[in-house]
Amino acid sequence: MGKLFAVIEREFGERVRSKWFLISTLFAPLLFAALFIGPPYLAYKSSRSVDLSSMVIIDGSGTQMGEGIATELAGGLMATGQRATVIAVGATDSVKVIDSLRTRVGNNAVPAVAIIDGNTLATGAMRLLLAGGAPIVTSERVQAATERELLRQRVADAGLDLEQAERIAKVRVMAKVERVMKDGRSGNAQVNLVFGGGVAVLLYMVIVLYGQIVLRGVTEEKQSRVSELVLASVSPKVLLSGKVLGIGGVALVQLGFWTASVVVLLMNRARLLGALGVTSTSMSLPNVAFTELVPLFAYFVLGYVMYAALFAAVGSIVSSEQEAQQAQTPVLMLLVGSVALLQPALADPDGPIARTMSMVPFSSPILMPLRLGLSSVPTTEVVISIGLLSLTAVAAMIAAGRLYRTALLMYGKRPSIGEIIRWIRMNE
Amino acid sequence: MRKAYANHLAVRDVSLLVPTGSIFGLLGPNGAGKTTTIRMILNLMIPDAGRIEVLGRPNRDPAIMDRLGYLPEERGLYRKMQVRRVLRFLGRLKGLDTRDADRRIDHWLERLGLRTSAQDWSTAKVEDLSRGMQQKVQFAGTMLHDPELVILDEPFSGLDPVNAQALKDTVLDLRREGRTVIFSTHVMDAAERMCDAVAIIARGEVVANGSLSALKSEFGGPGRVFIQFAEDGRDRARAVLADPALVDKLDDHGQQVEVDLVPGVSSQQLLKALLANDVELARFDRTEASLHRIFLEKVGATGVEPGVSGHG
Repeated sequence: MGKLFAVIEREFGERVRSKWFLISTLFAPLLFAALFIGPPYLAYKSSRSVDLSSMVIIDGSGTQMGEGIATELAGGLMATGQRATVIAVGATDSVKVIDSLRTRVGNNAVPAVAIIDGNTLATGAMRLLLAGGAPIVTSERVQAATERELLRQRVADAGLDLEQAERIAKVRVMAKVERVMKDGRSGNAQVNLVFGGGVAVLLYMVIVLYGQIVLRGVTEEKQSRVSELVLASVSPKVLLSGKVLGIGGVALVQLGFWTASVVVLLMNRARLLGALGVTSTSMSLPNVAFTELVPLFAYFVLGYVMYAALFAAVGSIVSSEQEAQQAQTPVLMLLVGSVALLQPALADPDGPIARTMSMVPFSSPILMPLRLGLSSVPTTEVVISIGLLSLTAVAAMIAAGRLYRTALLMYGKRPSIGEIIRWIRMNE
Repeated sequence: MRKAYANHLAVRDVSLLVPTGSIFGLLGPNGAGKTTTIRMILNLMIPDAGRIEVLGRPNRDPAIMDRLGYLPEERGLYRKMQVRRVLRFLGRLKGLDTRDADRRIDHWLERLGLRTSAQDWSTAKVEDLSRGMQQKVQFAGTMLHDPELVILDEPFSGLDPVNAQALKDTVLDLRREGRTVIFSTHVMDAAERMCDAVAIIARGEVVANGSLSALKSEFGGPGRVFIQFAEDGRDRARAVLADPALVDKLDDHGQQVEVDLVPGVSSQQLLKALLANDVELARFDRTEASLHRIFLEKVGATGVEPGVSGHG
């Protein structure tokens, strides 16, 4: 037992102490933060940065509408004090003025030219010339300003109060969608989808990432011939389980830290964006009970153990890292195949494909968490699926442990499938 | 014991008895089955047939592992780890606790010159050490837990003469401390000077086995003579050396020869015959057979893998 602990401690300690661990652990939350905060902030920044003080409004309406739009534009978010230039034109000279400005817009000297006439007040029709480099939001801002000015004028004509009118004009319908499951549990449909899919992809990523680390660890140990030294002190079973558990511990620590940082980020998203001057709706966290996390945790642990054993077996039969890259293909195919099934499972979480593949041990650690997030899976199905996965994980560990004893001391040619099976049968 | 691989029999019916407290040499050309034999003793490989007892217990008893020290032929350590952490790990695998291991690590690193008042290598990473130093660290790892039986697979390969001498001295120290040492080698010179007993393995079989003195007297006995010629003595001796009534076998080095006499012929008779031919001699020695010669004789040309030289 002490020896197993020594192996676990080495695998865990050496990795946690490495620079790689520190960097990847800290880098991921930064990446999450960038994903959650970045897009809304950048969108906000770019809408703010549109400078319309140098745009030109050609007013052919014969009213003060052009001036009104310019005031609306200047009074918006951008309080530079500079206003757009308004040129009042008659019906005869408007074409000439427009043509001369058109070239200046083409040269990017003027970002935009808005053309309004008598028709605009009645129908809202207007023209807008945009420079090639002008942001898309320019037209939205000009239109919004024009809308407000038109509204102001019409309201004034009708003798109403502007604020009152705005309140009447703005009607928005927002539906909060709630899906009701068979067991009466309810949840935000979108959040459940994101949560289920997110957990499935996360489990896939962690299994691939840490499976690779197990693979590389075993190959390195074999290549540097340390394994012979270690096997003279402990049994192959102890070495294998210690390695899988130690690296699994690293995965748990990292995953735990990442999860905690995502939760903290999501909870404080609105506050963070607010600090940057952006208002936004807060994203709601999925309402997940602790009891629902238990099967997820089981799928993570068992799925990792099973795949880690397979990767370790691959690592033990090859003699170099290049060879390992090729030899791991069958194991990777199992994983990639499971991810390829995510799409049909998302479309129909209780359909035959999803139900079958969430029973098969090689895909259940990825597909069952997805189904658990999307629909209510009968408890018996979950129990059977976890049971099958546990049996396979244990079988994979035993087979890999037996293969270990012979394969770790064999260098040179990669063994055939027949030889591998013989080696597994040979030891006990 | 017996062990077969996919396409050849690596060890066929090898039977060895290593006396406690002795230095035992496992000799043989490359590919003879030395490493396979050692791996089976260490329970790294399971023999197809046979029984192995180590220190009076079946070698599959896990408790036995803690009383063995093993230096594999292919040296290797975790390259990215600190020397002390590697050694602590190896010590803990042999059942030492961390504090005890640390004390022994200090002792061995000092003994091997890796921890002096000027420089302490224990905090360096393994990959920053020279090859020679890495070998010393590995040797320290072998000895950390005070093993009763030390198994060294080709310990002299890759060592410079200074380190090889230091290793020989350490191995002799181990015997003085009452430990048993098994080492495999094809360096006959080292084996001859250190071993109490040897076994010669060729093609997976034991071709000679026993104490060094017994082997020598059995092989050479009094019927072996070493001659060094002077002047043109070699030419004058030609007829005598070719005489089948006197000389059974001749190991010809030019100006020096080793002669096996025909049974019943005394060295005196050979000397008389040479003097009768007026052969000038620099040396005429009744010798024991050298281990080198016994090895070549026993292994023979057939015991060496094609293209591989078996002498060391």
